[in-house]
Amino acid sequence: MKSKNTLILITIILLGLGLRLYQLGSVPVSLYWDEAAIAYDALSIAETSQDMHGGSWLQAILPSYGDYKAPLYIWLTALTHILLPATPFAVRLPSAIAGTLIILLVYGISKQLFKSEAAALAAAAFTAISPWALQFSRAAFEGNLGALFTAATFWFTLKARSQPQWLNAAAITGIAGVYAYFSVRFVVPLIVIATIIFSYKSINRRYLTHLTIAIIIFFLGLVPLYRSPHYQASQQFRLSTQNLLNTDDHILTANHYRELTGNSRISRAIYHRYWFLIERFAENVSDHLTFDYLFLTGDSNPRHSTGVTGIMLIATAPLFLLGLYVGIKRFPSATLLILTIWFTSLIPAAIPLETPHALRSLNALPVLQLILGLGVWHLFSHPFRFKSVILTILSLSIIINFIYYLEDYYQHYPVRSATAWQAEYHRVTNYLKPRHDEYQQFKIHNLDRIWLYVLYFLKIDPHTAQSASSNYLITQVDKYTTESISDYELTHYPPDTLVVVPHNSPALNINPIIKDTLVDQAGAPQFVTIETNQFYDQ
Amino acid sequence: MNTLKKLQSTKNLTTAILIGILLLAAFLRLINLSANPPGLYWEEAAIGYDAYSILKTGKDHHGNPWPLVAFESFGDFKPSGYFYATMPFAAIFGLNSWVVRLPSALAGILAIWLLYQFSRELKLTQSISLTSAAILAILPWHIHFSRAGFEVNLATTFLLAGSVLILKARKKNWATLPAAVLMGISMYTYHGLRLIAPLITLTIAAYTFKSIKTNRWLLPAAITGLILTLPLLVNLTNPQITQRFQETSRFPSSNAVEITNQKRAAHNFSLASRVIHHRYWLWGGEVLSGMMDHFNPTFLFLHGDSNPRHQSTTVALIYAWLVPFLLVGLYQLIKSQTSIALVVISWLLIAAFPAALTKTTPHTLRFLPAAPMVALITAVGLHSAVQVTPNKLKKLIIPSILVIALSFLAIYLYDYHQLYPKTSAQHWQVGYEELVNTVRQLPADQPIHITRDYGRPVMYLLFYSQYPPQNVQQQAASAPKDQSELLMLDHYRFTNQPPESGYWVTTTLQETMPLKTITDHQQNPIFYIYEI
Repeated sequence: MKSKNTLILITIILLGLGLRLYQLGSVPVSLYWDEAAIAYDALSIAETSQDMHGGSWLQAILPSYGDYKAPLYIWLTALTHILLPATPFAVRLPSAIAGTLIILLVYGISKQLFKSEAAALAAAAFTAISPWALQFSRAAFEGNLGALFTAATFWFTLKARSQPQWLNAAAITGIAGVYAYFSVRFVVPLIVIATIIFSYKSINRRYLTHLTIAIIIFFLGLVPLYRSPHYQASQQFRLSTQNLLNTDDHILTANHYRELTGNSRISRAIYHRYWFLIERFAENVSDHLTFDYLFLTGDSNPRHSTGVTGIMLIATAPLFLLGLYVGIKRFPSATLLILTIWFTSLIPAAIPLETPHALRSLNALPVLQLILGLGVWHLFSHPFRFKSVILTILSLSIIINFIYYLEDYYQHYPVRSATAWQAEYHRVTNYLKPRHDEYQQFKIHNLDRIWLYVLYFLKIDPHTAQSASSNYLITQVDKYTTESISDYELTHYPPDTLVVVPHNSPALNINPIIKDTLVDQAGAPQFVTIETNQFYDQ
Repeated sequence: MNTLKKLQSTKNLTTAILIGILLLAAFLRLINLSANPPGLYWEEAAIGYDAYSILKTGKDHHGNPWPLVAFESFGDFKPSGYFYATMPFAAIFGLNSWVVRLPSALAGILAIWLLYQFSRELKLTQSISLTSAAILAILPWHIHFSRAGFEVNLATTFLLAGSVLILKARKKNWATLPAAVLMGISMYTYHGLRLIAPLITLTIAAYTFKSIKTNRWLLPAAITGLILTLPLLVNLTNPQITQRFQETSRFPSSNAVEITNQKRAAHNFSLASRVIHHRYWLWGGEVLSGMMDHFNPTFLFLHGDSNPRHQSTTVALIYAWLVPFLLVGLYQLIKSQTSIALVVISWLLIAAFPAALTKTTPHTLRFLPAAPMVALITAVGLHSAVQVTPNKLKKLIIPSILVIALSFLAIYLYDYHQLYPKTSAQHWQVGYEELVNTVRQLPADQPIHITRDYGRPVMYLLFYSQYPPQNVQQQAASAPKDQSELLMLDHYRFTNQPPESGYWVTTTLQETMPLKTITDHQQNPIFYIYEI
């Protein structure tokens, strides 16, 4: 029996791994700029032990393109770049592996909470095929790595109920999580506190000793982050995104209503700005609980969801409801714990204004699979009328739903999401690559962060890039310059230069001779290239 | 003997509490009815005037005698039920704004008693039944729709009454017949009920399945129901029914066809691709999504829908403090009263279904038939919360719940009576009453042009001047119309253009001094009257 279960688990993990690795380098169609930035930092570290700006690889915060990234994903990618050729596949591999390990952790967590092999295997299987998990395991998302370590911390804290020394392991994975994805530092302590409250029965002297050590390890682990020279700048960068705390709509609303009701003491209490702030927070949380988000369309950002499924497959909706019900009925405290963790995971996603946000709330991923697992467990372990018919219909509809999702993911999603993944930047570098020796210089119109693609896909020597870096920008390197190009620049570049500008660039008003036009999948023009010799020949 | 006495005294107590709840409900629904909502919406004006017209002449203002399925009104074909419900009140009290609202307010009060009966018929305890009545009585959603001429509120009460009677018919078979009649009437009172009422009838019939087989009144009731729906079925392709669906349907604006065609093209229109990428799948998804929009917490507990006529300014449909009890109640019902849970959940889903076929979801108004079930579930939740409270705290829990409930009610009342009239004034067409009273004083030998910016001016003129219905009916046949809205009446023209000479009512300030400016309560200008 035991070996059979092991076999099933291995099959599930292999299935999950296969789904995460198949065409990993080409679907999603291109590296997004965060991925390109990770890729080049990793390449640079692999070859020179320094990041692209010439800083040490061993920093708590890597400046990247000025967005101050967590270092762990970049380090792991440096490792894949030592072992494998520098391709999008190598950039995404750490995330794919992290996503596969999450399957194993969900199995472990379920076993810890519900003590049922069937529920745990089912939860693992749902993680393997989860559209939410697949979406973030198939691109270099630091959040996915963060979710792995958050899940690991949760698992270790559960294991510590019987063997408190696991708390130390939890502290270490907690730190790893923070260096994978910074917002984990708010989520992980809350999850651990909730889990410790849940395991109050096992708290004894030995537990407390290990807990104290674990807390010390955790806070020591955070020291490099807070002492990093980039800490202030990174905080400023993060808080610059619009969020509930730096917008004032709630104050304006409160003032307006107070004024209309005569600004009396009662009206000032009833229309207090804090009520409106709480209301907006509740609204943002609730955005993550809508049926559309959960089962129909998911996050509206095309990089975060394909749009044809929610974060769960619609066919699993009945199982999800059943799982919730069974959980509350049979495992009330464990279910309360995972619901608390779900809510906690939504907090970092509910403070910024763009909600719902599938990436910032990714730490909730295991919770939903645990609930689905409970639903399956209940169906299989209880007799009811028409059991085999219902089970067949349910399994078939989940399989059909999943195939429908996969068909879209591989056949239609790449076309639909090409722009969101910056496929056009990749197209420019593909075009330039074989032409390196044909021209003296290349001038590329400086679209947002296109220089990252030049560095990575044209395989610029990291030493050259490091010496060209200024203000976390590398715009002039080797033969390539990315800068703003108008008709003036176009006609004043030296001869033997190839210029790349968008097809609708104002520089084209002078009607230069176009060398080539780069088109997207649908054949629509995106970029044109121009040889500067035409301005000298006459 | 003792137990009998005890039983009697419990019964008296129950009756007393129920009367108390009904009095509270009546107070909340009737107080200041004519002045808040702050103005008469054009649907209310249209209902009021046509009820008046039928009363005086037996014809609506277009001259149609006793319309059965729907009143033509502005060409939107309003179901006839509310018009006829308003008629007797107009006969007694004359034509004014609270009379149009009275059928809805009374229906709202009656619904509280009906919900108590419904709950009792489902064999829920006395305390759950009283609690559900109390919650519906103070539910902002239900109060709001009881306070204006909303057809859906009257229809919901008919639906509830029909449902109670179907349940009663298990013991008293004859009740099947009035049940069928009430369900039929509800279908003539609001569009959505044409789908909701039959589906809920089937749901509750299924719940009472065991007794149906022996019900001698089933056949007569079924025939009555069929006869009642016949006029609807006969007119199924007639604008009286289709107009509304065409105006509000979500399908014309859906991009499902384009999406599926693109995807099919990517597979060269293979057979498989035409099945997988069929528009019906996407339409199904859209309808499902539209239904589930009504269960979004932001909608239910924080904001309601985007229409200011549909809820108070800052209080949404359901008090936030009821959220935990709603969840507990749902859980408790599913766990220990599975068949009741099935009825209640089906009711909620059915209530969301017609709204899901329309463009604007979620929709507070179209979803109103769900409100009584929300109160019922919450009552079950409150009841079990009190039950599981440890004995030591039991004395505390009921007073604390009462304090919370009353505080939230007080906040709601403040919001609804202090803030709402100010923030919603323009959505309730505040200003028309004063405008009509003003233009009626102007000399009748000069043309008066009234702007249509604020919507349907003719109806307000008819309503507030109690214009003789015969005169409109005569002019209606030949007057220029937009859809069925009259654009001309006596010396009035309803247009945004100024007359060559005469009077001009407009919403935009001109260079010359206006003769008079009509403002709302905050002195914001609404209409300017110019002499030209």
